[in-house]
This record gives sequence, structure tokens and C-alpha cells, in this order.
Amino acid sequence: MSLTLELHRKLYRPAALETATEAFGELASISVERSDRYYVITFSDVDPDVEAVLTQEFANYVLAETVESRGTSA
Amino acid sequence: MSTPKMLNIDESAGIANLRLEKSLYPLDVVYGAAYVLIDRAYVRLDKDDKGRVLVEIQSKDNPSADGLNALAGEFSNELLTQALRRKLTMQNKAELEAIVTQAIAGASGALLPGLMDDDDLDFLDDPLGIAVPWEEKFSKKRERNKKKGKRNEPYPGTTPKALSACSP
Repeated sequence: MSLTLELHRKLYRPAALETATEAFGELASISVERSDRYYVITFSDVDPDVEAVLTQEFANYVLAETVESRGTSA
Repeated sequence: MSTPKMLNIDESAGIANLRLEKSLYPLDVVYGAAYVLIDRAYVRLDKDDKGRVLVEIQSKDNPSADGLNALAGEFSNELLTQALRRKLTMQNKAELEAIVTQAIAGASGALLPGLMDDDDLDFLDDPLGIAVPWEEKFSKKRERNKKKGKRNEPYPGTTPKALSACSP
């Protein structure tokens, strides 16, 4: 079973996405594709323990990395 | 005229959706508010065709309508806080930069420009003549006058008139 997440390319930084992909690499096989407006992230071979929250946690992680890399932590 | 609805709560999905005008809430402000919430909620950002930022908030602990309302309200408040902070930072940017520059310059031991202009002066140099003792400065003139047979003037500030001006 695979899961899909779309993140807007103008709101999320590619470096943040790369960091998150590495960090979540042990929980699923992750592939990233680019559409016109979105990064389309596909998760396959997902660890069943985290399946329910994987995409949300991943999105949060990318968001936090994006904010921190912009220097806007508060 | 109807007011566009900013907040929509999808209770069945456990998600609160907010639509934010770009002119009211710059992206930095949205990022700041989202960052504050991500320990308690899943936050996903999106953009619509008009450039408005769409915020999807999903509670980690309390997916009820009340919980979502509370999170959305907190997020809205945080937007205002971040907007105010951003405004103040921009207003005081010049002063902040000056303070930081001086602090760094002081900590590193470097002198600011303007204080370094006298660097070529030796400590024995006295271009204004302030290191010459008062007696020495005026004794030459008195000796010259003596040789020429001229009457010496009293030292400045020691005439009876000057002294009487100082007395109470």
C-alpha cells in the first residue's frame, strides 16, 4: 500500500524536503516527483506502526525545516 | 455583500481549514504561526490560484469540533502576534543593527571609524600645547620683556579686577 502527499513548491523548500526524506527513510520508501505546482511525495513499504500519521508527520517535519532555514522560528 | 469565510471546520475529517489573504498575512507571519502550533497539530500549507495561503490544521490530541476551533483560534491569534512582531522588527531595524554592530565591534576589540583618526600621533605629541606648564608658557614672555625693559603684565587672571570678580 502506498500513500501520497502533495506539498506546494512555493511554500516548502527543496532542501527541507531532502532532509525529511532522509530522516523518514527508515519508515518507508519515499520518492519525490515535481508537478507544476507541487512536490508529489509517494510513500511505499510503509511501516505499519506509523502508517496512520506518516504523511502528516512528514509534512510537519518539512514545514519546520523550511521555517528554520528561513530564520523565522518565532 | 457577503463576507468571505476565513475558517471552515470539517469535523468528519477532523480538520480546520483557514484561508488567509496575502495582503494581510505575509508568508513570514504564516510560517511563524504554523511553527508555534506544530507540536500540537499537523499543519499543512497550500496556495490557491489567487495567491491566498490555505492552512490545514489537524489536531494531534483532540479532533473534536471544540478542539479544532480552539486550535484555529490560537492560530489566528498567533498570526496577529507574529504580524505585530514583524512590524516592530522592521520599524526598529536600523537601531537594532547599530546596537549589534557596536556590541560586536566592542567585543572584538576593534575601534569604530572616527576613533582611529589619531592613530599616527605619538603620546609625546602635543599639537594644542596643553602639556606645557602654565609658568613655563608665560615665563619666556616675561624674560623677553625684562630684557627689553618693558613692564611685565600680570599673569592672566591675577589682576586685581579679575581676582575681585572671583571673590564672593
